[in-house]
Amino acid sequence: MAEAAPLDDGDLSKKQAIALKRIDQGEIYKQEGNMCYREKNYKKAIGKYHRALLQVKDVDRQDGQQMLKGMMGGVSGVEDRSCQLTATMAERVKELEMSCYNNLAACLLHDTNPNYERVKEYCQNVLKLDEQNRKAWYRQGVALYHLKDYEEAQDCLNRARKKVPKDPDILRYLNLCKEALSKQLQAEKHRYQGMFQKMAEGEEEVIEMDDDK
Amino acid sequence: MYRRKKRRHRNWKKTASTKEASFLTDVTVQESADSPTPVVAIRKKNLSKSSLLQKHAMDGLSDSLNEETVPLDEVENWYDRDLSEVDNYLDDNLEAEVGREHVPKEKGKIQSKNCKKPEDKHIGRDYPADLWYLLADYIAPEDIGCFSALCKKALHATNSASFWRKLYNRYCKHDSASLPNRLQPYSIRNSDDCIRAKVICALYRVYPPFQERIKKGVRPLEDGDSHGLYGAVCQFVCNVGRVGNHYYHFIKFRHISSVTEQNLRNSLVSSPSVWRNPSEGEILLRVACPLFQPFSSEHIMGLQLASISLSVSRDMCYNRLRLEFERNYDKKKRRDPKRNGIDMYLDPVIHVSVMHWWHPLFHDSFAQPVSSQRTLRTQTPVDNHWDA
Amino acid sequence: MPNIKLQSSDGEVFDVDVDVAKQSITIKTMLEDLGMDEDDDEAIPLPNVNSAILGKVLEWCQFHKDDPPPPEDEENREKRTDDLCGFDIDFLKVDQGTLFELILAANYLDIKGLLDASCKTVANMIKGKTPEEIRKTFNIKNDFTPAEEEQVRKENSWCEEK
Repeated sequence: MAEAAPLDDGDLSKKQAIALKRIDQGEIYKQEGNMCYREKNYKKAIGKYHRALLQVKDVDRQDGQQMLKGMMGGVSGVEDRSCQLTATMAERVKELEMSCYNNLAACLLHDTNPNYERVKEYCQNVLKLDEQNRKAWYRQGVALYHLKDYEEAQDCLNRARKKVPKDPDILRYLNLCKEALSKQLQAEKHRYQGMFQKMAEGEEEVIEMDDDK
Repeated sequence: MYRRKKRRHRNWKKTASTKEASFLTDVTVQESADSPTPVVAIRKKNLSKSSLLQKHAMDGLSDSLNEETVPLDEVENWYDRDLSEVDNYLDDNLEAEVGREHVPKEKGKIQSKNCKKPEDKHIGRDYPADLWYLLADYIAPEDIGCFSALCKKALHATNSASFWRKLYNRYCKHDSASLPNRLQPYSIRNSDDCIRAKVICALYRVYPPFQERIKKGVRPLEDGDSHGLYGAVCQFVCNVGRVGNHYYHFIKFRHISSVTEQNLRNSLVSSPSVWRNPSEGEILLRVACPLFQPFSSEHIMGLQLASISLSVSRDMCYNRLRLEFERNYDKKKRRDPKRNGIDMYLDPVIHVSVMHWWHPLFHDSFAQPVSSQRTLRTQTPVDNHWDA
Repeated sequence: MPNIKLQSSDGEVFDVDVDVAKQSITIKTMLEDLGMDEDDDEAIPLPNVNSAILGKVLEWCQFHKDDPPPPEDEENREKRTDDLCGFDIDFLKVDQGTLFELILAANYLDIKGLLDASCKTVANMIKGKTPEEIRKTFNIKNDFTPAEEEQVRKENSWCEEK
């Protein structure tokens, strides 16, 4: 009773079957999420995408009823739960995670007061999995623009534009960035001009005065 | 007291650098001529069995120490304390030990603990890799060896550069001011190469439980081969001039790993650069003598150490060190008394210590100009510089 | 305070106070994205955690719900293993299987405090034991060949008290 059965192929395929079921379930949640998104029920969509992610998080480790049996066996609890995913399964998990994070970022941008930090985080999650993902670059650019990091935002948007050169949204945000940057530049120029002027006028402790302003 | 030690230390350093070149040539000659009764013998085996003296050398030794003008507390440095623990034992006993090397009972405690006894076999479970990665960050440095020996996944968890870097950040970084350059945070941060060995060396310098081990002293020679010296190849010998009241000889050994061993290691280690260690398998034997005794390395270079033993010196006041070398040492075979080997004796000897690559003095011994020593006429420095 | 429904891998649904559940960063992130409450009546399935472990996890969260958030720079601090609070010490007096299971659940749900406490407990249990003793205690499979084991022992000679 106490001894664990040695791992054999049957065990392994059983584990893979459980993993497969979880991936399937994750994809169902994602589809439901997409439906809610199309119906503009963003909040409900967010819930679905998170459920999908919870299905595939640590999917190569499985829980199951076996563990309880092990515990009742008295000696120890955990069954061997590590399970090698097949290449197709791993690919499906990756695809699922990417689209969930991408869609979560999209949902969050629909909020009246979006959590741009979170949008940025989700986009980064996508880009970790796929560096070429244009939607993630675009949304990260939008988030960064609103977080007032215009230069980084411009960089992200330019990467997105490489994929779709004429996308009006990308161009619009690039313009916004450009404006914001030139405004920033103007303000800086103004500030330094003021500083130099004061220096030229021979005033002392320019820095302090500038800070006081 | 402390301040004086420091000053002397500085003196030593200064002279060491200026007299660097001249020492080995003129002083060795002069000193060996002047020394009263140094005995350095290199004999072909089979000539005679060395005579055995059972008397404990301690009485004689303490007398001789008192004769010196140095205060006692200076004499009794940590490595000297080991002397009181030195057991003189018969060369014959040692040879008998060697023959029984592979009886598990005769092995060191840890070794026998780790040995898998066939009756203990239980199947056990294969836990997910994540568990080992999560746990690894909580394992104290002294438990890492044991942790990584549990199963392959646990070993892999201790196999990454980030594991060692985190360990360094937790236990060494706060104390990094006392570490040498190669163990400074930037060195750990910037390169994965040798990071494991570097962090282990740093731990032995600043992590209190390991510092304790170092403070307890370099262990004296013991019965059997608990130091794992046997079979190691002699790589170089270096005669050091006087340091404090002692003359030091360093003999460096290295265990050359076989191809099978290397393959085994490569199969277990997933990131070779992390585990790379140029000093792997190196052991330094430090011999402190009351007199200068030049000995040359030409006879023993490249030979394997087959046995090491201490007995009482000819003048009954110190120890006599006997090193036996063989060309093809095989620890599994009982040694053939008629083998074609070389015995080397150093007599008199105060103390012999064994230092592995992780010992702070191991690297210092090379970093400092060991071979570039001072002359006899310069001021006696304090032994303590080895603690630096 | 609104509640949230969490479902274990074996189908049991736990109705949990949001304040308790948000000890889990995974759940907290989700709740924040949702504006701290769910419209959805459907429970949130946690396929990596069974009901026995989820019950334990929530018991821990209930006790610690007013704890301040853990410090950020934990990474660089020496991990003391002797600073567990009385509740945690008693709470973690469970069989080794449950202990390992709690570590994995704490990691899955991203509950730093529980992960810390359970890993520290294991680290303490490992102290002063031989690998063979630990394997027996935790029922760990030894997948080394004797030659590999000997090699690992050699690699670890730096760690042995000489």
